[in-house]
Amino acid sequence: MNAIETHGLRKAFGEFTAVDGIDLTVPRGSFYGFLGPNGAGKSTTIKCLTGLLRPTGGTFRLLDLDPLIDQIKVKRQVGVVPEDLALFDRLTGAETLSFVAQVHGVDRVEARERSRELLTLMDLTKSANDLVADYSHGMRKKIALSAALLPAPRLLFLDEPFEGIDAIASRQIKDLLSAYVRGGGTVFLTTHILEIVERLCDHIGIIARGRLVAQGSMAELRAGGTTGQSLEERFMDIVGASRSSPLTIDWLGG
Amino acid sequence: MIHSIRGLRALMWLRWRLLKNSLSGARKRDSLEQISRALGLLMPLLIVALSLGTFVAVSLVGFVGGRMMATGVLQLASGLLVLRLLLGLMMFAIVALAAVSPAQSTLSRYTRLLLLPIPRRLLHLVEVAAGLGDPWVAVVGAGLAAFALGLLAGGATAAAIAALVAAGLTVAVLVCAGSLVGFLVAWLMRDRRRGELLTLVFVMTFSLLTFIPAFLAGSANEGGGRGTGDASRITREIHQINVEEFDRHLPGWTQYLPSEVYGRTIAAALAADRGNILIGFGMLAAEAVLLFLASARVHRQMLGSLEGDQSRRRSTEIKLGPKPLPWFSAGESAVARALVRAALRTVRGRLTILLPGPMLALLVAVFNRLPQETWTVAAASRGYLLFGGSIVFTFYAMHAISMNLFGSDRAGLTLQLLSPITDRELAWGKIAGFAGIVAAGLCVCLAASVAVAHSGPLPYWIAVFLGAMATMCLISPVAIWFSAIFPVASDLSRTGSAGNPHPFPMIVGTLFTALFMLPTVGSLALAEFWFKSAAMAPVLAGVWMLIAAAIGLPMVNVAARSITARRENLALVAQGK
Repeated sequence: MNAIETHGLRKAFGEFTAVDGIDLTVPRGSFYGFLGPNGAGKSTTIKCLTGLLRPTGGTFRLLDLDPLIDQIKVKRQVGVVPEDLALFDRLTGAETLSFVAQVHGVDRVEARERSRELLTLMDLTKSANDLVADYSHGMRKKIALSAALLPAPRLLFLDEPFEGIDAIASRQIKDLLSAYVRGGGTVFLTTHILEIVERLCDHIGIIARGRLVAQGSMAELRAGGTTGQSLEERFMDIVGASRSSPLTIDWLGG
Repeated sequence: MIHSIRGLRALMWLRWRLLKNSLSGARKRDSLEQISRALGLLMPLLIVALSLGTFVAVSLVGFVGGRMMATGVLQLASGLLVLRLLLGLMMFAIVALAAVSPAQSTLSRYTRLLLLPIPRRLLHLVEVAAGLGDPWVAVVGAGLAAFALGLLAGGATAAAIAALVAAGLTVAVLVCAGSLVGFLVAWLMRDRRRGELLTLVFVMTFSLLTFIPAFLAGSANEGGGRGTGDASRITREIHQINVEEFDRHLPGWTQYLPSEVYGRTIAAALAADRGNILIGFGMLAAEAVLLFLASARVHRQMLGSLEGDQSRRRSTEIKLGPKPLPWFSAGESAVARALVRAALRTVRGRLTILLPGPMLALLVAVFNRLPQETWTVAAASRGYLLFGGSIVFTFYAMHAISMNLFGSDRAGLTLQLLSPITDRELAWGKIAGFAGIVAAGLCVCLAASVAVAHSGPLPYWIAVFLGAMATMCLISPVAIWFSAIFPVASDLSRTGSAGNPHPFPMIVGTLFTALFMLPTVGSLALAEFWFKSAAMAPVLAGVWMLIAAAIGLPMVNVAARSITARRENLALVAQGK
């Protein structure tokens, strides 16, 4: 059974096609790394899957539901940390979590307990009652992640969640997400940090210029390359970066 | 030197490109969004047209005035007084605008500029020189230059040359003064809380201080009594004050104001008094240099404070979440509370509640002190009219929120769009939150009105309150429609245009608000003049409120469909695209 399934998913802005007919298959309980160069269409794909953008073509299902029909049912089971983090500047961290708990219908006492645990994990307890406007970028990331986790979703979309987060929190979050996946949850993660993908993800999809150029388990992906090839080299191979001539700039020296 | 010139050229180019790119917008979206953008350009075009008109008018007045003074058609002292007063007013406008606008918009880009190999002194010089592009400075410069040309045309060649030099020096003083104030405010604004408090206090004080002259005039007239022949005698006496007397009454420090120094220099030039001309030039130049050096100092201080903001630590206790509002779902309640909190924690949001009621109340207090029995005095004695007027202005002020219910949330809107709530819940949540903000505004209006004019029959007060509720019912679907169709990622923490909604809904919303309040005015008029019974006013207003509720509230559900239709565009606006 798949957590995410898309068939010919397409999104165009005028004449520009950001996502060009991709067929994703994300098994339930998997940690799926969605990779691609800048501007490849990763964030647009997430926005289409989470309902922020309406696809121009194709079909997709999340947790065996059609998000265009069962929009609310799907949203109840999905957590998202989008590109812009989706936070109210003028709410405090605690109020942000309270807002999420209310719209997800989490019991008030339960919501308070979950908030405490998440804020402790993210080392945000001291800043819980400060406005998000006063948070640093890393703190914003952490509170956005806490907000996504609070309703205990079955599927998590994370758009660059580790960017700007300190090493300690990053380690804790990685452990938390691994435990979440072991418990049956599914994570759909985009990141540029290949080490994170190598360490956490069991399935990988690679997108380049809006097209899905590779997909499968980590083992399948590695099997396609040469022996001893690192994920970075394999990634470069797949997106066609290694075939281009090595970049040299005469005037730069070195 | 060459590096400095290159840096200067690069920064000028940057300013031009930022202006140009802000007009062209981002990648093309749907046609409705294109129409929205096109309508959004109307306001800047209107401002440009008005500025050009002012530019031409001031230049003409300057030229004609200069020529008349040179030929003796206009008395020297009177002409100079007008010139000094106009220049003084312009100077006040330049400094006040410098305090409000640039401070809130320029800080973020300094961080980037500081990384570039551009000396800080050059950065300061460019910032000061860019002040020449300020429309008010351009208008003053054109007016003063035209005045010098007028003198030349009138045959006073030497005076014209002196006037031209004095004009250049005066403009330099104004530009440096504007920069100094702008940098100072920017430095103070570096801390978010300090900056917001400063803005709130500044806008409130500035708005309320405008009534002081009227109060003083009222006090001066009090001795003559109201509605007697003495009032007109006092008025005549005021008109007969001559220029010398006016000058004698000016406080000593005003002689150092650039407008005053400029005036004395022109007077000396027309009298061919070389000594005083040179003293005037020297004073203006000294003021310009002093202000430039002071602005350089503050600029350095401001740049130095770009890093190292400290946030306040509050209690670490996590409170139990609130219960849903009565009659609303948990989702609607959450959206409503988020709107109220987010709006009331911003400068603009607080001003919409705190300013209209007290301002109108002060205006009425001024009317109450007028010596003549006019309709304004009669109206001021009826507190319920003041209450009604305050409500209308509160609704107008709240357009920043009500006509941009989604766009003003910015990234917070994405969170709502990702949440498991229907578009109808989102719409009702927004309306409930807006109603909460309106209720707070009405309380302030009521308190201010009662404090200043607690007169008039109680039924009329009730009728006005019911009228406000009717307006709220009818404006609700309009607010949802406009907010969904014309969203703007506005920042309510700013008092300038960055906090404004799209101009189209703002203008049309103003008309709708007036239209929706009209039946309440009709109810009061009917009760007063037709039924001759105050008790009928709340009955009629109550009927109107029921009609408005029967029309407006179901329409919110219809308007919520526009969110569905515009969901993608709203999501893109929330991301600042």
